[in-house]
Amino acid sequence: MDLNDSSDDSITLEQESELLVSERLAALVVGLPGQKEILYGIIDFCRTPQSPTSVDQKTLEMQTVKKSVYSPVVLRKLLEESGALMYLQPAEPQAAEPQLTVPPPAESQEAEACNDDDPDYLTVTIRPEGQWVATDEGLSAIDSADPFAELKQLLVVEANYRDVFLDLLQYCAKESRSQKELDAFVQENPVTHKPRRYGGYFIDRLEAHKAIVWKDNWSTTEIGKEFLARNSYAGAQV
Amino acid sequence: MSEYYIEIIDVMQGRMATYRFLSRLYRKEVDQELLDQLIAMRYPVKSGNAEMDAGYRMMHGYICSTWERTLTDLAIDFARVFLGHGINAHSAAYPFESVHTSAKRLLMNDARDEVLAIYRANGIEKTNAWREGEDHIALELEFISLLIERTLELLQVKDEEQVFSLLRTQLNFLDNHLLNWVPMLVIEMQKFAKTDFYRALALITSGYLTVDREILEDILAVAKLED
Repeated sequence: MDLNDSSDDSITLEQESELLVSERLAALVVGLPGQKEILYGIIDFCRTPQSPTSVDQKTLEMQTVKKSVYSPVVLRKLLEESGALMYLQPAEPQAAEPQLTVPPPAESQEAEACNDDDPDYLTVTIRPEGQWVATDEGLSAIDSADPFAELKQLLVVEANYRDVFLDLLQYCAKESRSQKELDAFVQENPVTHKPRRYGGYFIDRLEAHKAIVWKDNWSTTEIGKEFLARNSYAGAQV
Repeated sequence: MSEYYIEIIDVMQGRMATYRFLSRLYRKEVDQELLDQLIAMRYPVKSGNAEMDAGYRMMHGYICSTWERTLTDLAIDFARVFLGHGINAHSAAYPFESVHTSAKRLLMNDARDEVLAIYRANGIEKTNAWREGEDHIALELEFISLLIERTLELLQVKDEEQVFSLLRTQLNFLDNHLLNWVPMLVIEMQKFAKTDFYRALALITSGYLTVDREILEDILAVAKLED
């Protein structure tokens, strides 16, 4: 064993760090039902540093079809706490010239921080705003998310409703459907009768997996359509 | 009116403003109106008290970085510092005298009864809007500010005897109540605060109460305002 080789240790630490952020992000998604798409969307938007105002605008855009009690500021705060986003403090203004100077006495330095008019008081000068940027761990968490694998997992976990999920995807792929239509559609399958399951049960899960989306009505997303194609699902004739 | 008399009025106005300011900061979260005031404020550099200077400098630094997230951050920190998660009596810097002066950190204990009696003896009642105990720091600070307001009215009519009586009441209240527990509160505030704002408030409060006690002692030592 090469004692000078510390690469194994560093990989372990990196993996651990990544796992912690992804775990925290996963817990956040579970804690905020229905907000996964928005949370991931904010992280994705912050691949490059963004001003708080532009992040807010983006969040509000995403919230237009998905109303939320969580304000953009709160969502950012939660993502920051999970380690998926970080706030870049604005750079302190640097004096370009001169590079070398004689330091003033301590007394003058103190006065310099104060108001020029009255050295006994400090007045507030608002510093420039910082920026939000996604952390490597946050990006890794959303980039490693495989919607097809997650959707497949849903059908494994809820195997008894597998056909209902797939039929719904196909139903909404042909044209967008209302909630009422979906409620009636799922009732056609006897497996939803006992225990009684209404459309909302399936819609919530498919939406959380980005397989359907609400745009005035419910329609199957590209992910949902691709999933149907990959699985060559003929399903019910709808 | 002598110069000293005018100076005393000036000092009282400054004291009243400071007590009202501190009381407001403890009463509820910072809102936009207060934040605007904090931005417009001037922060003393050399107050003569190291704690106050450090506190004002820290608060100035925080207020210089006020953006859209400041109010949310402050609201979260206010809840963290003063409300806590409520699991036990050590979950936050509880702003009630009873908590810090009773053996089991209980609310509504002897200290609350005492301050309530003092408020009543001075003809002061809490409004219905206030639903917390009377020994909350915001009320104790406001009580002093009300006494200072009365002192100013008496100074205008030159009722020296009543002025000194009120100043002695303020000194006694400081000694027997605020200075008896606020030093413990501010240590806990430092422990629970995550923002420099509430850390700074702890320093300013502690420093100011000490300074104000010295001011009151100095004025009472003279015992005469005008020749």
